[in-house]
Amino acid sequence: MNREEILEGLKQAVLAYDVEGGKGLTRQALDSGLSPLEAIDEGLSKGIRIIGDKFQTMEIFLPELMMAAKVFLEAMKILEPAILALGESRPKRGVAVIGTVKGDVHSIGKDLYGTLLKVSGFEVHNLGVNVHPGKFIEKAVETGADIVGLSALMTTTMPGMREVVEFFQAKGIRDKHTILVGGGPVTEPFCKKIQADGYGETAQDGVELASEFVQRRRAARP
Amino acid sequence: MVSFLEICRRAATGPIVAPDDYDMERLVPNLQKAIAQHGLKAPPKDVVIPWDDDLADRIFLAAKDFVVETGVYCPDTNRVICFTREELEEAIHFAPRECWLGEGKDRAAMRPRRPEDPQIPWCHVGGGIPVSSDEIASAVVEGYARIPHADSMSIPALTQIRGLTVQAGAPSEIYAAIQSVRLGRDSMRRAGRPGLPIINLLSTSASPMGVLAITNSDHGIRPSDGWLIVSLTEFKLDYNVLNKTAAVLAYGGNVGFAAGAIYGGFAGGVIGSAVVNAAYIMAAPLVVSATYHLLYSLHINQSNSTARELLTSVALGCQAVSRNMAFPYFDLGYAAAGTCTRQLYDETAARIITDVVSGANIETVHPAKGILMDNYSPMEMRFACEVAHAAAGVSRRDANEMVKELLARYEPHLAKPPEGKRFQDCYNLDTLEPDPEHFDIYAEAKEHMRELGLKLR
Repeated sequence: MNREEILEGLKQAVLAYDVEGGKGLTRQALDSGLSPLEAIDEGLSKGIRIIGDKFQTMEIFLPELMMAAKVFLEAMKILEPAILALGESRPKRGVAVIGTVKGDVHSIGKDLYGTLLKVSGFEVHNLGVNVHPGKFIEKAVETGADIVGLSALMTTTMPGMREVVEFFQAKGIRDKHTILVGGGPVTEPFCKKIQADGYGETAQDGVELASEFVQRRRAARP
Repeated sequence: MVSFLEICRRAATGPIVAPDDYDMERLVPNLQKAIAQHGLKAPPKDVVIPWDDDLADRIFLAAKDFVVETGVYCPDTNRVICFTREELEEAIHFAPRECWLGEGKDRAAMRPRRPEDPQIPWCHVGGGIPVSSDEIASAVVEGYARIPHADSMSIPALTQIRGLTVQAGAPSEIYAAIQSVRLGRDSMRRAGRPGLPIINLLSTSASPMGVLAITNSDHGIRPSDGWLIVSLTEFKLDYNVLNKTAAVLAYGGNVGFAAGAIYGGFAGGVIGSAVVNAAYIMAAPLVVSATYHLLYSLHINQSNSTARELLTSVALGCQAVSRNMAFPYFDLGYAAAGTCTRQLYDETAARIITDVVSGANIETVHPAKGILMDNYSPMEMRFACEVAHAAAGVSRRDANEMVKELLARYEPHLAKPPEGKRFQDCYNLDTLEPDPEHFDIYAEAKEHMRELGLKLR
């Protein structure tokens, strides 16, 4: 297989949810001397972008999106050591800490967001559900997170988002992290009211927002 | 019959499965297997409300297979609560055939219906929508209770108590939970319907502590009210939910299982969501000893439930259950558009007609996805009830034509719907009458429905 065929094969493996095929082609890409970064950017990521669009328009659903993400992430397990061995590094889009706020145990939207962030090149730390504000701070500081993503699915747990913002303010680190909010009952006005940085109506919106904020932060650095 | 204590035992002793494996290695493959085994295929796009009885019956069989193969996951123990086919079939056979709710002259039975049934549906009015103050909550519930078609009530979710924000798990939740019930009861009394049952106990409080706090006759609660036990999606019950169920059953209250497929989520598209919707209703008496079920299915990206595909999946799930099981349930839809907009009336009519001709009882549609503060009014709720009564006995074919006309009007605007107005901005709070502009929208929508062939009074 030549370079183009391998890259097209990687894209197609993602679109066909073919984990084993994706792993085989990834090994073949490395054996044939293809750069691991090229395999990601010109092969796997192209497939993931199509999958994201199809999910947005409901041509495919969550199980298919999860299967496509699995193809990508399994291939990454093979590519990452190769990237390190070459002394290269994949430019990380950013670091994100995500979780469902205190009192709320809903996880589907938050997990979907985590998956989409990961395949978009973010390093993701998923803290799970019913997360105390202090845990968000602990992880954000430990990982130097660019993004802190908060999810809530009930009106009575939305105040937990405000608490997280207040905890970051009280700790004096509010300006070091971008706080994004999302979830069924959350709205743009609520986001503004609690002084979070951004609101994503869908998981995909949240990923785009996260990317924009990271870019803005990096551009603003002296 | 499997007792609730036995369900709790299985939650503590069932097979251990990792959380991610339950979704992608158990639930999704079992659903896809059931769909394939029964040869289920979605109808063409112009059939929004299908009338294929054979398809509905096969969806019911697929849902049975799905429940037996999948069980229900308990995230607190990482175990699956499993059932045998015999246990499920026994629960379906012995499921309550009516659910008596309310007191005095307002006491009535919610009953199962069949597709195209001329029996008037149970009309559940209101919603657990956030409300900004006690004054607004009192007024809106009184307005709901004045709707003559109303059979039961949902009271709104208080968001503050004496200026303190209500937060899940905090003491504010306990005070607000008690206050919301007291306000609701007083409002219904003023409307002359003191015996109306409250059957959304309790939107103000999601925690077991809140439920325990209100489950006390001193606060006006009666066993003839209804407590909602909300499933985590899909097919998950944690200890919070099981604890609430245990408390309500011990009190002798009516347990309503509240669950519906997330369209586009693990349930997939039209057919997968239809199977999961049917599975939730049929499992309700077995899993939480429910005496009624509240079906609410939502779109994963849009958070509403009036999109074309969603209407079809709900119609199919309801028809599957209503043709094969005698168990009372009602369906709740979420509109994209807010109160006092023409689009809300179109979305409401489409969803209610779909429900009623498919054999469901109804809850009035929630405006603005049920998330905007004070965004509701008795006017569109009355319209929903009137449409529900008029749609009883309408054929699914005729209903399909009506709903297609309605979809043509609102479908292009679902992604960017009008927000509408707050209750206090389109109602006179002293007289509880709608502003003329709001009444005109209601009257125009009614006239439109008559033109579409619905025999509204």
